[in-house]
Amino acid sequence: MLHIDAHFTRGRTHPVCQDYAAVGPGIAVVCDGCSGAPDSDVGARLLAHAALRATPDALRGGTWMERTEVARCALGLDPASLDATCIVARATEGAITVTMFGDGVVAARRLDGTLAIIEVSYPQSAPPYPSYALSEQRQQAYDRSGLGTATLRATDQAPAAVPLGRGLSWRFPRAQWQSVLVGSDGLGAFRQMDQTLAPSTEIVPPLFRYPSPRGAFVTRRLRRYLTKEAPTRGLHPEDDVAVAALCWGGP
Amino acid sequence: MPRFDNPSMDSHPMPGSTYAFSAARPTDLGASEYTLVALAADCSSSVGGFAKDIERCVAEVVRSCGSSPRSDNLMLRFTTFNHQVREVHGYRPLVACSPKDYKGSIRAQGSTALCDAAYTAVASLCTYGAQLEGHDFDVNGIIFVVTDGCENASRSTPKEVRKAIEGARKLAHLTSLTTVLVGVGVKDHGLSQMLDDFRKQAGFDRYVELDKADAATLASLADFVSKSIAVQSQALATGAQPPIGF
Repeated sequence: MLHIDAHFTRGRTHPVCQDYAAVGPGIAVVCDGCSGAPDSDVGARLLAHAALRATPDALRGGTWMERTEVARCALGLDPASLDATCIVARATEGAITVTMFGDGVVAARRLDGTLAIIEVSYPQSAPPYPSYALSEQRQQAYDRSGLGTATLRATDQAPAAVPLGRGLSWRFPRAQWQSVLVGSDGLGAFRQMDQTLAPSTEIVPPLFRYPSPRGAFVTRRLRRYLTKEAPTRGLHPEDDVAVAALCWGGP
Repeated sequence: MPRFDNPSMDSHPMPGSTYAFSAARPTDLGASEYTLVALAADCSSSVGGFAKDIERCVAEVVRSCGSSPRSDNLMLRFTTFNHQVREVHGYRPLVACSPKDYKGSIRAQGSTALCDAAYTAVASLCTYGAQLEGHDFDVNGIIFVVTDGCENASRSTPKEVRKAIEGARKLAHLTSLTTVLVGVGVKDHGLSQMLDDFRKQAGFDRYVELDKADAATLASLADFVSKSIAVQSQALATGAQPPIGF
């Protein structure tokens, strides 16, 4: 049986939560609205729900963003409100496929319990938002900026990313992997006692330690980590955090 | 006699007691947080005149809480007590409880083990709360002990009840714990004073006294219990600790 759950929470330096996460049958989505864009909390939600309903072909071709543009126009929001990253994790019978537009974290647990953790970032924290594709002018401006080269930091033997449309994609076959977790870049923004940022390789492993995968397992685990375990270790989230996970397990 | 056949209920020994309690297996639960409700109702011989009204009161609590927006986050354990404490059902999700299951649950006979009823309610709630907390659930609790008479049959003492309540709070597995003693049909000043003394000795937060035990009064008690449960559950969601009033 496949278990899916997601949770998001506001960071201590943010007045509103611009991260968002949602789940549907066999699919989980995490979005992170650009902190400098107006109403990007709304935009992150629009992207998430558009992605939940998008076919793999629509994600690959970029047509999934058309729905968000229609909604944005109907609400009279600024075009930049759709500036948000989007990570989609979709389960099929044989694998979980992750597609990432922008930055964030992808992690997975092998059947033997070991983890692969992949963190994707961009220069100046300026990822290529999928909303840029809605405006030729904005897309060209981003392309000219030279910021669109991703840096991938991955643990040993993590699967390689495959370019997919304007994003990156990973595939985790069920024969080798037991669960997959995706998260916003907030997982890389935990401040330590010495004021440096903790690496995501320190933050992510405890999020896999859910006692049971039933129901709201991500919600329970993330809440417990944020309210008790992280503070005990002197870790405090600066940014919003959104996490979703899919797990094959018992009934 | 109600039947609660549920294969996912585990049995647990109760620390400091020969009693045991049952509860839903944590790995079968899906919500992110739970308010545990322990409801203990007197079934000594003196409640014979209004046993059916108490059953209706419990059924109404279940019905009312079942329609609450927090119903998915409530778990209920119901016990009756005379000279012994009997678990009608252990901690189970409220959505798995049916109002009609309480018909026939109270058969009035015997004396009143008030302390044992209170102690087992506290100990079971604390033990199960710790187990759920260990499975990442956020948990708080509320206990109601409903009686029409004074202690005359327990092995445990009010001091032990107090110690159990204080221990539950000190261990901090529960984000909060509210304990309410309810006296029904308390017309006599002496009985009123004894129950109030018991409340103080045992360390209950509140003593609610009802001078009647008729259908209308017990219906209002159901309303009070349901609202108190809702307030306690809302406190778990928001972190606030609002007061409970009748």
